[in-house]
Amino acid sequence: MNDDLNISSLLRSRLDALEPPDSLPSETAARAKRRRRQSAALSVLGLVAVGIVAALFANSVLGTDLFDAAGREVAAHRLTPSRVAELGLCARDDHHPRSLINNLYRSVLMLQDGSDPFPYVPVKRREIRRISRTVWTFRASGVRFEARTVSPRKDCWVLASVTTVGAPPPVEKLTAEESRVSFDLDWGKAQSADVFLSDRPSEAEAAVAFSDTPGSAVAFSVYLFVPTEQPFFASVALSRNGHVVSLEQGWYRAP
Amino acid sequence: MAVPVEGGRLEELYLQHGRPAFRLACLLTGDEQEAQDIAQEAFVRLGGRLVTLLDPDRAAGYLYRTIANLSRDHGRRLRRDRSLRDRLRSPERPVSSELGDRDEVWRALMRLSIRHRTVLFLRYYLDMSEASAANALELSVPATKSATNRAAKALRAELGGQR
Repeated sequence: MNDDLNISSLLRSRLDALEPPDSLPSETAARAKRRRRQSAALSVLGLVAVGIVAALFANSVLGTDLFDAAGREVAAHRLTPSRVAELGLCARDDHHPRSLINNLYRSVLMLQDGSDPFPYVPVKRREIRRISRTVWTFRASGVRFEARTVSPRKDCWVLASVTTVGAPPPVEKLTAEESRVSFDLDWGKAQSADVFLSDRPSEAEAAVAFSDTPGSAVAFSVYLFVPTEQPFFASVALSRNGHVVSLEQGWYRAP
Repeated sequence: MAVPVEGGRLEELYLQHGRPAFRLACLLTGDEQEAQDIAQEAFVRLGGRLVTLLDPDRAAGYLYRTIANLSRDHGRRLRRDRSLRDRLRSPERPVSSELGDRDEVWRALMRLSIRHRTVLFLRYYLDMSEASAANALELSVPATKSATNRAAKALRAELGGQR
């Protein structure tokens, strides 16, 4: 191609006359060696840094924050109770929906016999540094209860659950509006409703509506999971038919 | 003075690629003194990578790429210096080794981008195949082909504009 030849000859005519030194300057070899050593040292440092980051990541996902990661999955509605059971995470009490979640969180909440119908006993495991809870019991009679919990901490997880006691009342509706979760309870099998997790880690909301069934009771349990031993601030509001009937807020500590 | 390095491999590479490397640096910087420095620095860097660059083609590609990158850095430094001088209103630094005003063709070449000059050098001066030039530039073969066409077109435009 004529153009090619022109460009080649143009370049040759201007560059061929330029001659470099006959050999490399004497310090070139020493500089190259130094550079190679620096590169090797940087590679090792890089590997160490990658290892540290990987270890931190593994620890955060698989270690103490395991429940946190799992909670996110539940909150994102990717992990249904049946899926949890499939994964073998549910072994304690298959007919109790909450136990699925409890097992998932590596915590054990046991219903005890006695006068108090809600003596859930949180058993601390190594993976969970902190569990707190607030329980209310109400007589339910054609009312709608809502529990809303907020913590300014972004590294804690809030769970709201509802449990009925006595004769299981017919449920008209059971939703957690803000978390966009809805469950239909099978009252013939369990007296306990399910656990609600919000999409946002530090907030949870559960709502339930009952028809007139005197003599039944309902409890909202709010569990706050924080991955540190530090005290944390949280507020829990319970409303009935849209009006706040109970507001509790303050600093919570490990039991 | 010849320098035996890495069993003479660096020196061997210098004997093989020293001349074109220097000329590429001249083409990219327009300054013989700078070209010598850049070529030496490129060989230093190549010497630091000899363990991993066992394939001679890859070593050459690395060398030419390094020269292009160093020349680009040099250009940036030069522009900063000029800007500073303009602000300080000091006279232009006299550079005895500049190849700048040799002729119209040279000036046209100097107006091309570093990438265009590099690809023209590899394809038209060294007669590298598209695949080898692509390897040296770390581009795909189609991208290298396209860059070559654009560079030739730009050079023709520069020369046409002068005439």
